[in-house]
Amino acid sequence: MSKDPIITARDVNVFYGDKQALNGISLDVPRNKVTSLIGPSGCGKSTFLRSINRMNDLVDICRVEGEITVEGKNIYDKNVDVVALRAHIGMVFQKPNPFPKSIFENVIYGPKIHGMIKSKTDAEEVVETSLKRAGLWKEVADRLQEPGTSLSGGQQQRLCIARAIAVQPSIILMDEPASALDPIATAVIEELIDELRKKYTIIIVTHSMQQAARVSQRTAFFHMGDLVEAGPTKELFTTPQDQRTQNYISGRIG
Amino acid sequence: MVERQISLTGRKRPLETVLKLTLKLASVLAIFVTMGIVLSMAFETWQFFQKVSVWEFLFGLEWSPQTAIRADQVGSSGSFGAVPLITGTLLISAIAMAVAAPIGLISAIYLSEYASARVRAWVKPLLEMLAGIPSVVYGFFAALVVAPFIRMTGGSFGLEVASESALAAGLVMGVMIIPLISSLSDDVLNAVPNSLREASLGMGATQAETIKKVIVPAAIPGIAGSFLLAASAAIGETMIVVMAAGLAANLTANPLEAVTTVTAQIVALLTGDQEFDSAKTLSAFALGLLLFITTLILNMIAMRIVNKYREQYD
Amino acid sequence: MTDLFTNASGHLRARHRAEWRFRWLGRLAIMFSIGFLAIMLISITNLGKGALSRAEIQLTVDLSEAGSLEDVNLKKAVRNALFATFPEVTDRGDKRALLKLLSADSGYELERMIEANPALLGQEPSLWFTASDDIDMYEKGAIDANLPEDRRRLKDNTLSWVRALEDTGALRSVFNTAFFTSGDSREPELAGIFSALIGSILSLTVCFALSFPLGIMAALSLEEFSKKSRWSDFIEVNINNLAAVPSIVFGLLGMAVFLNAFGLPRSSPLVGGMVLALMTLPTIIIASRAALRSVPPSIREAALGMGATRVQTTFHHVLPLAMPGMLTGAIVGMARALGETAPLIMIGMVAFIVDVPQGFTDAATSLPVQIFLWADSPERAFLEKTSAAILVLLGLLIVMNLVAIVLRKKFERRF
Repeated sequence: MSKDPIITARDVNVFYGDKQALNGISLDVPRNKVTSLIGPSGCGKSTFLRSINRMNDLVDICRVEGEITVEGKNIYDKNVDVVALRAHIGMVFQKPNPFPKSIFENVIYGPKIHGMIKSKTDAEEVVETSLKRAGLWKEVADRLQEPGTSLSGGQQQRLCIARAIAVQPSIILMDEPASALDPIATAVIEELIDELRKKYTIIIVTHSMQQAARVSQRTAFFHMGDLVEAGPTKELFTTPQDQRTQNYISGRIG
Repeated sequence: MVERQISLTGRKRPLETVLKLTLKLASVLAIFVTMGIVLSMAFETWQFFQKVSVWEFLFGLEWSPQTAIRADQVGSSGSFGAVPLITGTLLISAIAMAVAAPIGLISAIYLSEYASARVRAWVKPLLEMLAGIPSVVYGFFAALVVAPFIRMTGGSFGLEVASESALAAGLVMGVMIIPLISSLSDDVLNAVPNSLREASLGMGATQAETIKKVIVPAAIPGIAGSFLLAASAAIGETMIVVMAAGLAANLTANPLEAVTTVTAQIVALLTGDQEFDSAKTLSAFALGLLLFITTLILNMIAMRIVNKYREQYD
Repeated sequence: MTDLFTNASGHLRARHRAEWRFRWLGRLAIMFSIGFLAIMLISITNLGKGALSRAEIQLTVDLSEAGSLEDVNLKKAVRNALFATFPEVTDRGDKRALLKLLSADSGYELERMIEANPALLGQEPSLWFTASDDIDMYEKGAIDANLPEDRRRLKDNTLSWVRALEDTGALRSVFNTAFFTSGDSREPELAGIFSALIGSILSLTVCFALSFPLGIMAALSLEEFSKKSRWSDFIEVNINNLAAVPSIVFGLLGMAVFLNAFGLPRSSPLVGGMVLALMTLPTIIIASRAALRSVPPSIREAALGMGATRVQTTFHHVLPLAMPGMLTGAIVGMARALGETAPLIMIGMVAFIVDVPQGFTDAATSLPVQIFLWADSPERAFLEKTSAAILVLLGLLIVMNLVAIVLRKKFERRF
């Protein structure tokens, strides 16, 4: 396992029209660890997350400057195929969004599109593996043909994780994945994240400092479009270097 | 200083009660109209079925309506089998749907998923214009420009094309109903939540794949509803077929031949001087009732589907 | 690692090609629809632009013996004028052909010219008469003079006379105001849309007078004075269904009820308007209900809170705010009614109407029905008139829709 960071960001500026949302962000994301992005609302953490898998391309007025590399390749390079990029990077959203299809079809959707499925047994294998890794298999193994929308909120979110995993990404981006869930479902997701980091690199945006402390090994604190401070989670929370970080942690801002 | 007596029990206002009653009557008018349609046509149809059997009407293969020569003649000397009319209607409507469904749906997809706001701003009104043009204009165009053109083109390929081909009428009718499909489909596609698009694109699907495999399947009920409404409009359309399709009661599936439709026959049977009680005139009402029931069923199913779909995503 | 995320894999390339094809399919579909619309409008404009002009022939009419209009034998005067212009024509067959240079109504044209200017009596004035439709078509280039005679509409003799008239400057084309001011005619060169227009206006007046008040009242009752119940749902389903019933069914209803049962005059704008009103009613009800719904509840609450009754609240406060939306809906409904043909045919407005209808119970026709009737005529000249009438109809529809849009924009309030 190589020691160099799987994702590097250098001097990233992001604009929505005339408004600047991110100012000169430089950050390294280590492999097989959970990195959390924290900060008050509107600080740009979601914007940064979405720049990594170029979901910001979907917004017409959004402009990205600077360099972000994944596995050493600058993803904003002209000959990068966004479709291939997004197969390497999975994304889980704040509100669970399973397709109005069966559970089976939800999971198999990505692999099918990327031509990874050659036979029916292939398909069944992929679905079982992904659902197992997402910790959902036991609960749905006997009802794979039921619609994904018939599951509970927490289950739906795990289905979305299984769906993302099925495409065999190396990185999973999570944008406040538990904020729409109840505490028990949240705990399940957090446990899952801990399991998942053995195989995947995870970046999680969270508005809960407690969650960041529980779940991540590295933390980056954003404030008003700036990356204020980044470091090992324990250190950031116990001995923050910047006053703004200190203020956020003690509850004075955000 | 004037003191006002405000009674807490309130005065009766008879004018208001009368007014509310009048308004209520107006709202019930719609029901009276529907009843009027059904009853008036049912009455004439019943009279018709005194002269011609229901079996002959619904299953007879020959349509050549003649009036009884003598008043005491039971039945009529002609045949009133409506099957050629029904097949003619279905043939032309099928051609129309074959044109309108793909073009309408794909236009709606492009407008809702790909087109920029600027393109939408002027394409949508243009498509609405297609809907606003009176059918008599389409009929004129079909009869005097499209039909001869198809005839000529067919001729140069060695095909025998009638001067009033079902193809000409169906083609123009199809263009006329494109907006019915594209407008409604555009609405339902827009109603599909954006989160589904994000989920699909986030996994590395292309936009086309997202549309074909996620968005359209999610919008199928609404799209199906729009198809049914368009089909119902095609079946009930009159002027295009009267002007471009003619009156030959031909039982065929060949779009290059001339056929007639239920609506064209209704017009033919009732224009000109007719005895109001003759089997010929009454048959028009029987046809009208058949048409009304068919379109009613299609419309009700369509509205049911669309309403249920709207509940899902509102 | 340099190949990562680039467009290398064949499968990826195939997927991108599929995307490109899909996008182009969408563009083609839209281009087809708009292209068809454009072709239709352009071809109709091409066919119809000729209707704006009509050919006229100048003849010297001998009125020197006439002291008053009664003294003039109109037909004879015109005939003699023609024979005087072409004295070399002696054969009876040729003479009949010569008479066909002018339109059939030339006698009446002379009468109208004398009535307008009695000073012509006692003179030998040079007057312009409408040419026949064949001459008109020749002037517009629709008749090929190079075809062999037996395949031409204009025979050699007629052609030579026409050329002679051209040479002496006795043949001209003028703006065809008669198209807009005259009623229908068997002769295409004299046919106009005036009586059809009046018929349409009368029918739409009746339609509006019936459907607008009834529609608003129904909408008010359903929106402001009803509770949601199975009954009101049933009414709503009924209205939605009526909006989608084929127009010909309304024609049948009109025949059976208005003409047969009530015995109202066939072919009159009264019955036509009533049938159109039945068709427009659902549209107006639906549009009016939407307009009422767009008035925020705070307006009603404020009025009710002051002790106004429901009726007062509705009529003094809600209705005025909803009125622009209701009017917009009504104009759109009228525009649709203007284009309706089938139901009016069924109630008899297919008669040949020359005279302008004077009242709501006179026999009349409507503009789209006129178009329908003319479209059936084989003469080339009617093709032109039909197309021009279509352009007038489309023009009226555009104006009405623009008025509706302007109205909506002007009264668009942000609550």
